Amino acid sequence: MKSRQWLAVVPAAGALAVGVAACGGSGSASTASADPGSSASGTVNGAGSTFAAPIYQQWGSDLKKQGITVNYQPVGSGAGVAALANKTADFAGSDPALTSDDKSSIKTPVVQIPMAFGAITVSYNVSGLQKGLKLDGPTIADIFLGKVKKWNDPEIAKQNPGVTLPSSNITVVHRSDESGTTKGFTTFLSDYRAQWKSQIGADKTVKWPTGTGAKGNDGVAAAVKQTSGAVGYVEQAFALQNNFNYADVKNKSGKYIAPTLQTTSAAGDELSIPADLGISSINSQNPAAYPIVSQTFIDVHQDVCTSGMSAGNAKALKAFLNYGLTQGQDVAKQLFYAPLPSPLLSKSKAQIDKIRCNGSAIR
Amino acid sequence: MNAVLRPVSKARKRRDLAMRASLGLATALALVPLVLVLGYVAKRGLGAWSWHFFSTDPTGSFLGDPGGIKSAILGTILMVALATAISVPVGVGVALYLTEYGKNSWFAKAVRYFVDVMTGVPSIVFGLFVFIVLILSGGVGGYAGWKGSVALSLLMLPVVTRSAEVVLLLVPHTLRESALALGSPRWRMIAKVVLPTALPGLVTGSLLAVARAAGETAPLLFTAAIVNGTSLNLGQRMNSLPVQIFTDVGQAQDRLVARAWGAALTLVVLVLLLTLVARYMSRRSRLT
Repeated sequence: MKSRQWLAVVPAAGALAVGVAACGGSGSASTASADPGSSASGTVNGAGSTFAAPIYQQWGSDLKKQGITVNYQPVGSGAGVAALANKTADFAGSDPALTSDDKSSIKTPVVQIPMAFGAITVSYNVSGLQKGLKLDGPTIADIFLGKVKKWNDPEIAKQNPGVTLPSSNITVVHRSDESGTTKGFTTFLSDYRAQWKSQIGADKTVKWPTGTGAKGNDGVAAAVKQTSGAVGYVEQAFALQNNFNYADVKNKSGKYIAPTLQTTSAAGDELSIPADLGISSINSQNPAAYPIVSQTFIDVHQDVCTSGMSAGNAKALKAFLNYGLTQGQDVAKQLFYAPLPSPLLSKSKAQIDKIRCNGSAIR
Repeated sequence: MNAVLRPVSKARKRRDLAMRASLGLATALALVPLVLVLGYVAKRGLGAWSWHFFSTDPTGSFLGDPGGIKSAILGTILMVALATAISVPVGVGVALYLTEYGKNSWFAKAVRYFVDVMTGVPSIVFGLFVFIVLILSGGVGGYAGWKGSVALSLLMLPVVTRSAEVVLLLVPHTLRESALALGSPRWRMIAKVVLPTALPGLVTGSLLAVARAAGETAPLLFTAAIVNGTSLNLGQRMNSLPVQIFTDVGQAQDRLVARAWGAALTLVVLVLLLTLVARYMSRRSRLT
């Protein structure tokens, strides 16, 4: 009696697991091969930028009805490019354009597609301090250098006449992971403070002289939210989601500009566009633009099938990218990201057609 | 009898009382964190529970409805089931070798030693090991549920082995001897006498290993990855409760943190149920 029970347990558990694996496998294979027509269904795995994560996840949830599953891991731009290089991701979300180092680490040819623009806000959590504190580049650099330590420092006060500033300490929050948001922010600071440029520089990770680190835009937002007196840099969607107060930042033309959809879009106009579309929208020349606007890219292998995707999933990837550059642009706007201006948009769309599956175009 | 003994002195009574009180206090202190954790998880988690919470997947939507945890519950159950199917036969097999064949040979001693070492390996190391061997090597594709199961089974293996060995040693020698005396071969003695006798204890040990694996985040983070949708295919990425909690808690949104609490309570209830079953089985045991 007992022995029969025992002998039944192991095969039953094994059969259960194997059976589930088998039927799941055949199920997804049949959906991928059943419709060779126009409608794409499949799974697309992406990783990278937390800056752009809200739009990619929203696009993914919009495409679910069409049978396309998008798994996006917000792990930071640096980790995203690494995941593309070691082929654990089908696409990488990266805010900065790929450098020649990135390209050589990926080895195979890569297609770089600009997707949208977003503002990097200087968000703060200081009781009694309203939205719209006026800050210029050198002051922000001095705060993040640890030279400006209190909220009522004369450097802040002289730009904000009539504002009562508290004497509380400033707590700096920065990113701890390899981040495109950091690259955008430090590029902005390097343009304004020689000391920043020489000592810290502009990169996805830098040696922060002060403050505490947090992982991802969401991590920085959480830290700013929980720390009174904190200041951090987060993409606008994260700032709005958490009702943060953020600063008006002085641009190249000497105007203090609040980050809005309009002032973010303005930074996308009048960009010089290189051949590989490796644009940079930080410190725009446009007088109406918010100065700390970052572009964000999706990077994919030029031949996605030789890099591990099935033909069905390659079709789904193309459908995802097409959606992102058509209806997705309006969805991005609802999340306060600026859509691509039309000359850049048509160039982005042309990039999608460069993607191949085993050497032939994806239809 | 009592007349012969001297009456217990006041000092001894006082000492007895003091020791009893301090032991009681220590017990109460040990229970405080448990009660606080369970109470707090229940308080924060129950608010998130609803039919919607259990019947929908996370949407990933930034501003709209965040969705529930269906995919996480199913993923945890599937991956732990596969991990159990891998680790229990192997673990019990190793234990049988140790108690019935190896005994005190140098090889059995070495196996015992390395099983103990395996118990001490941090779970994240197993995750990293599977990540490097099964994912970065590129031979068998990217992240997948079954790779998470492999990492979990590595974690469960020493727990299953050690608990099974203890239970098998409790099977009285007289039973083995009488089976052999009646002319049964060794394999039949093990299959018909030792295993059935030890069965409740083996199940208890395995369920405790399952309960431990169900709550592990680190081995799944780099192996089954982070996804939203439900997948019943162990060859694809899978969501799980601990990973869902891990990602939600880091978010700056209260509604995601609330979902993490709900998922934490779900996990606690699942593990509690397993432990209760394990207790029930061990009470039915004829041993111990």
